[in-house]
Amino acid sequence: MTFLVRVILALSVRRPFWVAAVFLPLALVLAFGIGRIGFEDGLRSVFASESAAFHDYVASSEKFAHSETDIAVLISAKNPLDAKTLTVLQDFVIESQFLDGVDAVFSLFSLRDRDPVTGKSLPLLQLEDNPAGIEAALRSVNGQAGTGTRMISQDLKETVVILSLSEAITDMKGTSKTLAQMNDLAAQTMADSGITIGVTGLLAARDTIILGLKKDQMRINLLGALAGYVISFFLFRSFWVTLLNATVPLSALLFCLGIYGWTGQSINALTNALPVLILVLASSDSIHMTYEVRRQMAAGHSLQQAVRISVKDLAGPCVLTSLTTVLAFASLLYSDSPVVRDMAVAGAIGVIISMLTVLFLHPVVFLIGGRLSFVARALPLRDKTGNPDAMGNALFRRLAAWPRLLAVVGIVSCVLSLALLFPLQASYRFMENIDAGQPVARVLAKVETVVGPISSIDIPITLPAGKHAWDADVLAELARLHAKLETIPDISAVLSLDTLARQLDTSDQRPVAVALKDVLDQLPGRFRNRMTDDAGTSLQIMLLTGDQGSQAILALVDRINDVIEAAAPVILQPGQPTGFLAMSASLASSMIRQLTVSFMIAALICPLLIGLWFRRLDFALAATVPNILPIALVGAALTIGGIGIQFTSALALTIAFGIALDDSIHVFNRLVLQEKTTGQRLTVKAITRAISHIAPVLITTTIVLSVGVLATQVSDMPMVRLFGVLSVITFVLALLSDLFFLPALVAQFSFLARKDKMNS
Amino acid sequence: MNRFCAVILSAGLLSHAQTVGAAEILDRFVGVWNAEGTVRLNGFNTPEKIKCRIVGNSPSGAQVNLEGKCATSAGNTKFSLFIAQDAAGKVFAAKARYAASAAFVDLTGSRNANAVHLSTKQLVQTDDRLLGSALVLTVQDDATVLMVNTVTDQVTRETAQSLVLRLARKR
Repeated sequence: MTFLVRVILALSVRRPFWVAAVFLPLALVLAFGIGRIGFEDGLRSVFASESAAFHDYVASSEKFAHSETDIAVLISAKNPLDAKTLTVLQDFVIESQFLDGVDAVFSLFSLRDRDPVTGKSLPLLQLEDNPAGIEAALRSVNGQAGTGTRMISQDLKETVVILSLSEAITDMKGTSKTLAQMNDLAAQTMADSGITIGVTGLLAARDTIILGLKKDQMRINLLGALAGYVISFFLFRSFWVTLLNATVPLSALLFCLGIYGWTGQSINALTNALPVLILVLASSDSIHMTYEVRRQMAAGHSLQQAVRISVKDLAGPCVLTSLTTVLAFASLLYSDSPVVRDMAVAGAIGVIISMLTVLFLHPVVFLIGGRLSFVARALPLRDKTGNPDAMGNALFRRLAAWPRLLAVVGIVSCVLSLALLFPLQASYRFMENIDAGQPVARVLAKVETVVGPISSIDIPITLPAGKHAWDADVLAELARLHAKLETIPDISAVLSLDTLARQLDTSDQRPVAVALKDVLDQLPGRFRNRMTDDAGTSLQIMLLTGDQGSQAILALVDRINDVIEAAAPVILQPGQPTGFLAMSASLASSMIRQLTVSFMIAALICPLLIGLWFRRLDFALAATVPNILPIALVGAALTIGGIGIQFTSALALTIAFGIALDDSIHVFNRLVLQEKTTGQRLTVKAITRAISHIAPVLITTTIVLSVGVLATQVSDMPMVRLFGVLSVITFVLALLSDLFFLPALVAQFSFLARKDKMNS
Repeated sequence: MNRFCAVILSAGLLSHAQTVGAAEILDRFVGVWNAEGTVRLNGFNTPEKIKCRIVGNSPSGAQVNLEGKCATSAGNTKFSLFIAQDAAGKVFAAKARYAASAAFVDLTGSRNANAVHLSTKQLVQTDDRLLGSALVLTVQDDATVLMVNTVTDQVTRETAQSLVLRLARKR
């Protein structure tokens, strides 16, 4: 620490122009890095891990096609579909197959009927038929071969087209291009046709998230910077001082984003709020230093002396506050998820960059800026009307009368909140990342009204060597299992080879295996591969169900396993239910639990670090309760409220914990400075005086942090908004805990420390 | 869609009203094509609308390679057609494949003015018919080629145009 202070003094304070000469070209190079930042939703790769659930999912995806590579297109007409609108729809279906990466399509036109006279397989819909014939055909669509689900609404005005994309194109760059082409085709089709077309599905949802992330970065960072500037202006009451101060956090943001860009770090749904967090953390530290510089100048020191003193006095707490935040991020490395671990690294690097930028650049900015006469005039602190030592002094003196009671209340509140928080109710839904009002979500809701749920839990089934999917005994056992699975509540439909077998014409004289293969041949490849692999040696049963949240899905998976066990198949060898829905529900629960462990690691190590830094066991003990309490309260509220703990809330609470410790650190720093100045050990009076002195700055920095993070409320993504709200609530609760409980706890543990010293 | 693939044959080139030279005929296929027409699955089923996107390139002067994708409202398939000519430009040979999983079909034939007539050596068995197939491609002008495939039931001698496709050059 001493070495760092000496380096800052030697470089930034003694040679500010040299340092500026290094920072400016560096800033330019890093600015180019910002354009290289990639955007991805991260919501699939977040689950990539060595876990059995993810391995099952990958293995199953290699053998069978899944619904998560589908784009669902909802066609809506004002009147029941007729020959004219069906002709437009037919052209749309044909043209959509030429979009990049579209492998297969399934629509009304895919359905076949067997001519009773000739036995030929004919399209169900014959557009040259009379209106009554077309209507009759449309009414027979639902429950037809190949789907087992509905394809058209009861009023015949809405239908769904499913496009299956090739695996090669499901990196999101390729998918975005296909979706853009789809939107163009939809616009062309809709023009003058009287039909409306909406697009949805997992891929469309992921694309919406990525577009939202790009918009968010512009909006959130801009608003965060503006909010920080306005708050600082009210604090400093000087345009030039505010401008100088703002340069530092903006530079920290620039350096951070630039390094992310050059190192290939991408912004995803989890790291979206990271840049604005870096901005407000840097703003907070910068405000502390600016305030100290002005205070020292008002006390009669020159600018250079004031800057030197601010570096010496505040470098320590700046470093410690950054270290606790780095530790909070580092605790996320406990997670199995590569996306969470990447966030841990990105967050830690961002905080370190922010810290170094503030420490090295703040002196440079003020020493160079202060040379301008109009800036120099504005620098010294003018407001001497209020004695900061008197702020809330009466309140804190009153509180100081009951240190033991407050300490007990703090500890008991913490324990109770933790008891309410555990056992953890982890909660995950893929669509929690998209506003219900977004087109992709609205269309999905409509699609599921027309055709039922389009997501599924998939059961992979292996067959013994020598057996094939269309063997009579295999089909018989499959039929029994299929029927039992259909009885499970919350399963909308079951889709398997038995669905096709049920549709076979009973008058067909051919062997079932031959007739079944004929029906399979008529299905597009990727839809055929949902029921059986290419060789016919494995089967898949798809259970269509809505995404009701991870808890409900896990309960459903348990019921499915119970039914399979009760069915006791002899030939079929069912594997563990998988598919994106089941996999994400299972892994989300375990990963959210891991995030809670991350928080516990941070909650133990950070106070320890504080104790080691100040070489004060009493500080380590006192820091624990006021900083765990806010997290425990918020977590308990989420649990009691039935919302549960999501990825975002678990991340927000862990990171907010690391940031909330900043207030405690500044209190401890003030206590240490006071002890040095007075030469006396801590008394309740001394603690009260320190709190009164530091309270205005703590309140101001909490406001800066909160208002900055509240910029997340302009995001289209509900989870980003939730991240912001939970963080702000945690900051405010942490401030209140530090103002009300921390002094009492310091008093209690300091008393114990003195008793130990006397006894020894 | 796969049955359609089994009976459609590739073809050589047809000569234009102003007779096109052999090398020039193959050159006429080079470029990007949008195609539209009708197809009958299994050769004799109800006609359905079909569209294709085809790209032709020439690995050498005496050969042309056409590849692309064809789609009906029921599904889509890959399209591959390779045509070569003899040194005199009178005898044509071709290989065609209309699904990635299908085997190549061999064809031979000859040129007549601006039309090339090709036929398969082997007959194709569908559900209930044994079919022979003949494909005629006519170069109508610089920007248009007409492809017509006719199938014949070897037992009943019934014929049908299983594919009628108008290729329009994309500018």
